[in-house]
Order: sequence, then structure tokens, then C-alpha cells
Amino acid sequence: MSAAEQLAVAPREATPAPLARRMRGLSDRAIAWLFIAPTMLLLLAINIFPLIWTVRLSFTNFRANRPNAEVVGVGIDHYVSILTDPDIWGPMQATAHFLFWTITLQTLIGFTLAYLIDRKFRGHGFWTTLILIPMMLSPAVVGNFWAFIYQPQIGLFNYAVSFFTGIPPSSFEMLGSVKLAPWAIIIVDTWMWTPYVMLICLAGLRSIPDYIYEAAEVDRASAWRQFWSITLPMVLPFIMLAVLFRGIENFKMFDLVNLLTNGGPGSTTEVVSITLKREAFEKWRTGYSSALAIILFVAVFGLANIYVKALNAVKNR
Amino acid sequence: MVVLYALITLVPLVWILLTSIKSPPDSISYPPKVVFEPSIEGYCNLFTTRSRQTEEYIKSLPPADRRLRQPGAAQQHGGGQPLELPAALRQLADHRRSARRCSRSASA
Repeated sequence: MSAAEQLAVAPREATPAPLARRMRGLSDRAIAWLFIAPTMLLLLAINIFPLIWTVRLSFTNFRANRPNAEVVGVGIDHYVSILTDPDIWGPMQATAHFLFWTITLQTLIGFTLAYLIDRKFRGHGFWTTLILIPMMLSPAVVGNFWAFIYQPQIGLFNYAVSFFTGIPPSSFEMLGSVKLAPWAIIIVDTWMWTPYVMLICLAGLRSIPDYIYEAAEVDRASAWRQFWSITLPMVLPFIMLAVLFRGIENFKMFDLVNLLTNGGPGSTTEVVSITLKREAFEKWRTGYSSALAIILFVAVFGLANIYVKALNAVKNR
Repeated sequence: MVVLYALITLVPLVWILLTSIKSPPDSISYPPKVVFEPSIEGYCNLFTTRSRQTEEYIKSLPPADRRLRQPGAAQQHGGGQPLELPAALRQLADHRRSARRCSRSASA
């Protein structure tokens, strides 16, 4: 027996006989399952199980602050009371307002920036990196420091506005007034997430091959015409993708709103996730809030599915 | 255009960075100070102090070991290990003192 053969045989012989017999009985597929199992178990435990548990709770009158109270099934009562409650439209409208303006602003600014950066001016890499910084910060940090900046007496925002317009700085409160509070949150969200839209648009713009533009040049198409007939149609799927991501994220926007206004003043900035938090952790109506969470989940899921259909239609055009 | 946007978006960030190295009176002054004497007091307190309570308040707390040694106290805490509260408090006070020293040396 040569040295190489010995080496090849060694691991097989080194495995204890019973284990080897057992292992040899396993098919490749079984081994694959064995390796995937931990991840699947973890995902089931932390993703799927809570979801199913929420569905279960939404049919009961369970309250998380009274764990020993008797849990009674109430059927679909919670769903009925949420869907027939006229007050639920307040948060829904706040969410829609927030969603509409953040997406519009972010898409417009993000696409414009991406278009300008795609021109590859001097040092564009450096400036792109700088623009991306807000996106990398934790929402908790962003919320806290914008609350500091919006502070009416000493905040930078009021000072800057009064510096440029001459309005006395303490005459308005970004977070405290009914009119301005939604806009304060829209500004912060736009500030934070425009780079994200920009990044996706930039990827789209970079993916357009140069030869299409060259062909257009040969056909003597104007720059305007090139933009409308080449750039925009080819980037549209990417823009729509960015809108989808931002839409889903902002529909359940919680962190920034919670830190900046916590739904206030009154309930002017109370988006649905804040309502959810108030029901679940201030009124402790766990069953009711579970039902609301399920309704929101179904709404987002349905809207996103419709949207993806539209996206695919645009892609295949 | 891009440069202008980048500069404007960076203003809040730079502001927070500046505020992080301001002394407490500077950070809440009006009009906002752009030129100031930097101090690392904030960072000192962040890494050395684990409580916002003053040293006097912590000292005024009743000695915890007396309460914990009462019969039945262990059951109140779920029957586990008795809480090591006095040691933790002493540590806190020590942290507090070192924080003071730190900020004093920083301003010096």
C-alpha cells in the first residue's frame, strides 16, 4: 500500500464503526436536510411561530398585562370592530399622507441625484459616499438627534429658518404644531432614505448600455428625446422597485415617528404602527392589536402583490 | 447640484458631531455656537458613568444589604441569588468619581 492510498483510507478507518455504518445509510438529500435544519428551525421559531401565535391571539380577548386571566375566544369580533370603526381612518389617513409625500419627494430627489451622479463628474465617488451616510445611521440615532435639531428654542432648524427668512425662531414648533408635525417627519424620512432610492436608481442608470445612446446620437435624437425614450423607460422598473421598498417600509414606519412625535400632537402624526403600539402596550388590548396587526399585514401583502404584478408588466413591456 | 445636496444633507450630521464635543452650556446656547471650545466631557461621561443619578442621591439610598438580609427577602426576588446591590452602588459611585476627574482633566 502506497502512502497516498494509506492517506485516502485513513479517514474512513478512523471513523468509529457504528457511526460510519449509520452515516453511510444517509442519502445526500438527508445530509442536506440535516445541514439546513438548524436555520429552518431558527426561522420557524422566530419568524413563523410569532406570526401564527398572533393570528391565534387575534381571536381571543388575551391581555398581555394579565397573563393569569382566563382567555376566552371571541371569534372575529376584533376584526369586525376594527373594520367598522370610523376612528381607524385617522391613522390610515396619516399613514397615506406620510406615504404619499415621502415616496414622491424621495423618488424625485433620488432620481435627480442619481441622474446627475451618472454624468461622472470629478470626484463623484467621494460625494456619493457622503450622500449615503444618512442611510447608514441607526433610526434611533436619527430620531433622537432630529428631535434635538427641531427643538424650538435652541434647535438648529428653527435658527436656520429664522436666519434665512427673518421669522422669529421661537414662533413655530416643528414637532409641536398640528400643521407642521407631519412635515417634520416627512423631512426626516426624506433626509434619511433618499440615498437609498438614489442608489437603486443609480444601479438602473448604470445598467443602460452605452451603445443605445450612441445609436440615438447617430439618429440625431436630442438629449431631451434620449432622456424620455431611453433613460426613463429603462430605469422605470428600478424606480418602481425603489418605490415598492420604500412603500412597504414607510407603511409600517415606526421608529422615527415614535422618537420624534410619538403620534402627537394629539393624534395628528399617529400612523397605524403607532396606533398598534398604543393599543398593544398602552391599553394592553393584545387580542385587538393582534387583529389590527393581521389586518395591516394582509393590506400590505395585498398591495405589494398588486404592485409587483404592475412591476412585472412594466419589465416585460 | 450633487455637491450642494451633499453639503446640505451633511449639515445635521456635522451639527451632531459638533454637539458631541461641546460642553453642556455650549450645546444648548442660543444662538447656536459654531465656534466653541471643544471638550470631551460627553464622551468621558458616556464611557465612565453608568447612571445619571448624582453621587449624593446614590449615597442617600438606604443600604441595600439590610433589606436583603431580612427573612423572606430572598423569596421576594424569586428565590434566586440575593442581589449584590451594595457592590453595584459602590461601583457606580466610583464611576461617578472617575468621570468627574475625567471631565476636570479635559477642561484643564
